[in-house]
Amino acid sequence: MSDSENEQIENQDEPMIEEENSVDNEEIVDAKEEEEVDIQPLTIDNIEDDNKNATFTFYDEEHTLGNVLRNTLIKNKNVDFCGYTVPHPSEPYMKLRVQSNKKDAKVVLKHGFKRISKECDIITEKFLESVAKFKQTQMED
Amino acid sequence: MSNIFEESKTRAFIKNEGVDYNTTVTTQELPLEDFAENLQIDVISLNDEDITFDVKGIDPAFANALRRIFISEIPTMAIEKVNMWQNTSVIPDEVLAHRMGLVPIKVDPRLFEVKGKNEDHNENNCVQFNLHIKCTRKNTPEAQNRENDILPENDEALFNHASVYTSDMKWVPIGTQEEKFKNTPIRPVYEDILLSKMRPGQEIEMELMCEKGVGKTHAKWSPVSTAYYRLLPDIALKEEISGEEAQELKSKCPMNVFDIEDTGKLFVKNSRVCTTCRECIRDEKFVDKIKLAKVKNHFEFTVESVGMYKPEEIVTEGIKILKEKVKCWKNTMKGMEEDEE
Ligand code: SF4
Repeated sequence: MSDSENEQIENQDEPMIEEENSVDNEEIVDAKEEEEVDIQPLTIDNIEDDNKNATFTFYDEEHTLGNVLRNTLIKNKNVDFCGYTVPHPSEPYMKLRVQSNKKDAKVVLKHGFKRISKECDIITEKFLESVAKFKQTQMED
Repeated sequence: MSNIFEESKTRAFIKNEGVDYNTTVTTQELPLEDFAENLQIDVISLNDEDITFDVKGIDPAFANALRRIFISEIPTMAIEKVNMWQNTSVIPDEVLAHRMGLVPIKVDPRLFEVKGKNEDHNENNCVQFNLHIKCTRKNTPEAQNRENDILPENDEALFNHASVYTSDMKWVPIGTQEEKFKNTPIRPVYEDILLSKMRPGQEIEMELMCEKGVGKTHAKWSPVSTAYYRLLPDIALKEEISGEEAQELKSKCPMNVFDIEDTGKLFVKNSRVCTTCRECIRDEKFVDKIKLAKVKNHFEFTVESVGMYKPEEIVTEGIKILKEKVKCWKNTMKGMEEDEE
């Protein structure tokens, strides 16, 4: 009788342990998912001097954006220094340093974004115009 | 001397070795109206496969951003998952699957979404093809004679489906796709790409799933075969060249940049075709007589499409993607500020 009782207890124990395990597993999976969701697209590493100087880290960006952005910001009167770097080619980060003499670095950066997007509009417009023109001259020939 | 200094702001000079390029960063931001006025775009040539156009008045950084986007950030559809049910051909499974991935697919990628990590294939993120083909012996006396099997001159005459082409891929519409793409059936861009060779008894059966992606992830998603820019050459003669020297110089240039007038004087006929081979300034005696230069802010783009997009669409899509990228970051910044408040 006692044997069978023991067995029963054991039998009860086993599924309990399994359940515990499965709970653990779920937690691990959850943690992993959270980690992935938690990636910050844009972080400010360093901000000093009344927010005028800052280093931004862009996730999943490279020279494509970095170089245009630097080029645009450097022309801004309010910017003393601007530079960008991709610290390691196999890490998906791009860092941008902005040092302004008058304004908040974030304002300067936003101004840069606006400027690029306006330039894009102008280029698209002109490009479509010239394509239309080319097609027309070809039709006439 | 100051003349050369002034000129070096707009020109890069080509020397016998290397190039004299003074970086001239314009430290002033042009007002947008001036930017629009200075900007000049001209299409030089355009056909179904490629486009050549001039862009004058932008920074190298901008030109390079566009080129990078054309190559690696414009989304297209390409075969990503292959369910291989049967493959007895000589090509190993994984090599064949990779080969299938490189087949360009003619379908407008803008009508599809990128498949999420945990999503299943559905009509909005996937295009399916089936390929089921078996090689058999033809019923002719030559085909039945096995001695002809050894290095046959024309295997198509002996066997059915000795070669597998992209035209053998059959599009399988999912959901409402049949209705949606009624007028533009989905197919491989080229029907005559050789996928594999087979012999009687060999068979390939697979399901091909196309997904949306960008060239950054894998070159099969790149919509261009090449996309490049170069600076427009600017060639001039510093002094008059005529007579024998003119003849010599004219015959030196492999691209026929120079020509001779009726009076015997040399002139620059077409500087655009110059390839910067430097043949004309190799001889010491011509070094000081010819000005070989590049216009620093005049870019000649060449974009060669693989076939998923029209060449001019690649350009407009590229600019759109740059704009969206910038807009997206602007919104991220807005979100950050709201968090702080
Ligand atoms: S560099 Fe070459 S292609 Fe250009 S003009 Fe001289 S010889 Fe001709």
